[in-house]
Amino acid sequence: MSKEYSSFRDPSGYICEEDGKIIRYVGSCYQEQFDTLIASKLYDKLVKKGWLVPWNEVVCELPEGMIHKFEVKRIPIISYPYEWCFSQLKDAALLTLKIHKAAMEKGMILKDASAYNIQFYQGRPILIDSLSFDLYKEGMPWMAYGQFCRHFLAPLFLMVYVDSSLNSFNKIYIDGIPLELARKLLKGKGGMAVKQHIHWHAKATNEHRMDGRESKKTKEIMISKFNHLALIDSLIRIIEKLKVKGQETEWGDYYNHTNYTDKAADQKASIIEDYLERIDFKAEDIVWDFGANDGRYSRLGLDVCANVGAFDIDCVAVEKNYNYMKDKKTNMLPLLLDLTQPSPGIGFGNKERMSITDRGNVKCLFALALIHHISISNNVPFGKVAEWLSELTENLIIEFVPKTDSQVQILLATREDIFTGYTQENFEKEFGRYFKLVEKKNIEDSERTLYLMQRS
Amino acid sequence: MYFDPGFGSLIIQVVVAGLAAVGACWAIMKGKVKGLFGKKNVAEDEEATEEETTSEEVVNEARDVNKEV
Repeated sequence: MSKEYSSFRDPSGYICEEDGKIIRYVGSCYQEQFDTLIASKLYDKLVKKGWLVPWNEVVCELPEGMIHKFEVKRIPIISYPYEWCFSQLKDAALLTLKIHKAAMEKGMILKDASAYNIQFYQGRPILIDSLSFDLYKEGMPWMAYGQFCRHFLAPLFLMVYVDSSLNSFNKIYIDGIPLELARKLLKGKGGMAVKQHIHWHAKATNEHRMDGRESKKTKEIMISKFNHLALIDSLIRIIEKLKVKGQETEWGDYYNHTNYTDKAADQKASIIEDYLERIDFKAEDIVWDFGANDGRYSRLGLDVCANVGAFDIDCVAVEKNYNYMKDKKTNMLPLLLDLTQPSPGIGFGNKERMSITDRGNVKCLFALALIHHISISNNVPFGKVAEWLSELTENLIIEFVPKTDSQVQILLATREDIFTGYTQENFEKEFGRYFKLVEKKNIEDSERTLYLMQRS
Repeated sequence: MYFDPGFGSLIIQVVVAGLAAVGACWAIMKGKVKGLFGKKNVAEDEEATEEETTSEEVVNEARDVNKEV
């Protein structure tokens, strides 16, 4: 048994992995809440809607202090809020509020509102923490309101009113963006909703920082159920109206500005399909596409296995891909990732949230029209790229783009060409140290070559 | 609770929940009045209440609630 490192904050139970299965243990201190969750049929309702990850009870001898053991459905691709585009964070926020509201109808609440309790499954957000429910008592405020504002509202407001890249702040602040910081950055933008939930909230947090500890007044604060639900409805309306306006980015319109002819683009897709057929996929395998843009080629992965992660640095491209795929009920997950500084391990011991490398070891990885951006725009030698990719994948489909290609010429137009080692011969030599070169094919109507490689 | 909810967060929650409740009541009343005159566009009215709750009068009322807490 290996206990999930991040499963330590809530004493109600813990998650671990046993024989390749995800197992959740429920502690005796959670008995009443658990019984209510089941008896009220809240669990059934949420699972039926696809809002809560389902589980099956495992009947066996339990560790001391535990009352239930469940096998929980595995989420194929784990992602974190700093890898989500605006619409993903917005949908995760709305799901959190809707689950809280549905719980209140059954005499329960969401006791926490951490964005890390949400994952994406079949294109949609889903709550993975089945111990997040507590009993509701009349007059009880929403204890997780502050957490909800830090984890969801603050980054959403910052993305809308300041810059769409600012959800990356979640990488620095694991418990959500401090409201005082959000207040300073928002500079009064966003109208009454921002004023209430960020400005006043930040001010109240600062002014009453010590009050709760000194006088233990927390329990005296009461909010009627009507007001409580009005607050949740109001938050839902505020978030539903949020839109990122006028995003113009480097990659948002990429496929209208490539040097591919239609023939070359079609041939590239058919070579990828051919390479994929040569790999022995199992249904549960995972394909990653680095530099996926709007996911045009990533979707080819869905023909051979169930799970595809489509990573791109550009928030508009990820946004387009997410909105296109979310109603298709596939496990293709578009995510934001800067390959020159991929998601690190964060939180306590750098292990609470896994680095992208720790989430790797996938069956196949696409690196299409990418190598020139890493090796020329960012000066990363072929050897280092090959070494890192070999840590992530068993099979690699990679496109070599030569210096004579017009796209590389654009990259070199404004800088000195110091890349004497950027040759196809050197590319094959350096990648050959980590991979076996299985096949290479030229893409017609272009100077590019597509390789199929296998980790050696 | 396994984390500190923040005393300031709870206090401001009383205020913003109060504002939201005023907005909700306003929307309900407005819907009923319009219903009497046969107007059906209640959804638009509900959206409009977001702005209406921001009036100076309601904000002051909410601040009074804050002081009482």
